[in-house]
Amino acid sequence: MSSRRRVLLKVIILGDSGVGKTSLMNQFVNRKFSNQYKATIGADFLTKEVQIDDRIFTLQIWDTAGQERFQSLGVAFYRGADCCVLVYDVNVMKSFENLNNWREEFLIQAAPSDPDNFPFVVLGNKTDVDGGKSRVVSEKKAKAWCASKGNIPYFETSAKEGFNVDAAFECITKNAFKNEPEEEPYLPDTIDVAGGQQHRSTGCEC
Amino acid sequence: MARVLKSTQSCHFPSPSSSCGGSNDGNRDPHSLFNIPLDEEQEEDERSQKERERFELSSSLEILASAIRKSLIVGCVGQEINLSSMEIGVPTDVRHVAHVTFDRFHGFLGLPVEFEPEVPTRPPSASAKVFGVSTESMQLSYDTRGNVVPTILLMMQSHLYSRGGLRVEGIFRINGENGQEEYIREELNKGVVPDNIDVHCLASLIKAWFRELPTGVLDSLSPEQVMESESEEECVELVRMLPSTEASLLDWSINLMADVVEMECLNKMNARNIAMVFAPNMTQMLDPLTALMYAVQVMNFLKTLIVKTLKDRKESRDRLVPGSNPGPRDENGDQGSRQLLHLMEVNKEVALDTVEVEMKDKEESEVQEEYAEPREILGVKSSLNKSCQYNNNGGFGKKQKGWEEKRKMKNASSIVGRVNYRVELFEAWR
Repeated sequence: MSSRRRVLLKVIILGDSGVGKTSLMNQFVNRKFSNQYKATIGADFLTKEVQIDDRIFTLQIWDTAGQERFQSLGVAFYRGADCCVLVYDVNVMKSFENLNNWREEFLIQAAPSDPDNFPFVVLGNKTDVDGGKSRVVSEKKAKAWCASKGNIPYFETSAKEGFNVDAAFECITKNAFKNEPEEEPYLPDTIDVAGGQQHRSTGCEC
Repeated sequence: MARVLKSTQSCHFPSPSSSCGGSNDGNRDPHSLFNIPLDEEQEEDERSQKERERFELSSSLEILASAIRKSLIVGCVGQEINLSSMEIGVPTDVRHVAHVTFDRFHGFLGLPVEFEPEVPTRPPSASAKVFGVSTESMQLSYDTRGNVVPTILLMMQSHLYSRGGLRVEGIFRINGENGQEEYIREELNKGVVPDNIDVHCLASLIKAWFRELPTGVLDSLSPEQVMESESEEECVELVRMLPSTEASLLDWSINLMADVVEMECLNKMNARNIAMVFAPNMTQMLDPLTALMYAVQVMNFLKTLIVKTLKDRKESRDRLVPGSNPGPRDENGDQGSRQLLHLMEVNKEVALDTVEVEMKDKEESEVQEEYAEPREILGVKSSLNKSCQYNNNGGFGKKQKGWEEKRKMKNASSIVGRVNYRVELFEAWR
């Protein structure tokens, strides 16, 4: 593996409506937070290059709509994901309870070769709200769930204040990359696959 | 009916059928005891004589039979009731009380009022299920604009409104709790709206109702048609092409969405947001990716219609408010204005907070302008109050009021024709 080769990593963000998926992505990619209340149409995605340990990764982040109609976006959408980010709102219990559904739905749709070891990362967002007074899901509870699902890394974030967002995405990148090399020996034309994904991405953007 | 039967049984009337049992039962005693006397004796002497003989024979036979039956009962019951001493004569004052029919769609027809409490109330739809069934088989009611929509939708809407759902941030966007949703679904299928349920659940269920229709509300339009309709006129033109049921459902839902947008200062759902979350539920597409792409077109279509509806509402309010309008709106006038003050305060705060951010976005700023219009909010309150009132009082009874209001709205005139037809249908049921 040459260090010059760019690695494209596909990351999917899932979670209930209004937990802050788009805001997290915007904070990470654009360092911006908007107070606008805006539902996501279907799905957006952005790419960002990150450098970790002298290697450059292109993160392709797929931000999905939390609407019920799109809860199973289908194989085409989830296929090829290298990491799945599950987001919940620490102030809304049901968004935490739904993490299980999101995780299972993803595993069914994406059908990764090794579901038990597929990298997930859980983010508990909106820790800033009301100075933490309105929070209903404790860190302990969230960590316990993550531990029960095969030690999923857990981060508490605030997309509004940019708290912990970079750390979370660094972990996401590393975990996504850990997943990636396994496939390389089986796919001689890795670059073509990456190119294909790139092409698809520009197609969807229009 | 029941009473007649009971009385005949209690005095062991020989043939307890003819008054209410319908014509088929008549074969056994075609000239039952009370029809025969006094009729046409002069003209057909011989015949009537024969008949009378036969009648006497049969009646004496029946008296004999009843005597045997009586003795059997007496034997069973014991000697305390001295029935055998009771004289049973020919019944008098017999009348046809009622002709009652029953079918599964309309329940009992022609049932006398005094018997009504004994009849179990109808389930909300003929199919007993309210999700995933076609509107054709569901019980329908009128909304305030004269649209014919399934009663279940009006029920959920009135509960949503009366529980302050329109003031909740992210209403229709935030997911409902899955466990509770299933429970509420079951209750709704039984015709009950359970107490103390989450407003997000109710909102999710309204969306789910549309999503689970056998065919989507906008399915009769091709994606190309929807894509090509950009202007308001084009969208309105497209709505006219919808079949009547779908047009009614769309009009109802657009007005629901407009109600949400009018409270945007509290719920943060602007026309784009509410259109976005409704759009994927208005069409049926198997492939989720195609649905995803089409949802954007549908979203724009819905948004245009919502903005138009809000504009029309504002116009009709501007026409009504300045003049002296003695209509039903005045009933709530006082209350409305008090709430208006409160709402305006909230508005100012919100507007000041977000104005910078909001102005960056064209759509948002459009809606923002409407905030500054105090009448807008007054109208919202009164129309909200009215619609809640209306819905709580149970759709059909207030039909007249709904119609009056509908006539005021000029854009609703196009549906009067088909609504009339529905009225006839509906009244035929009653």
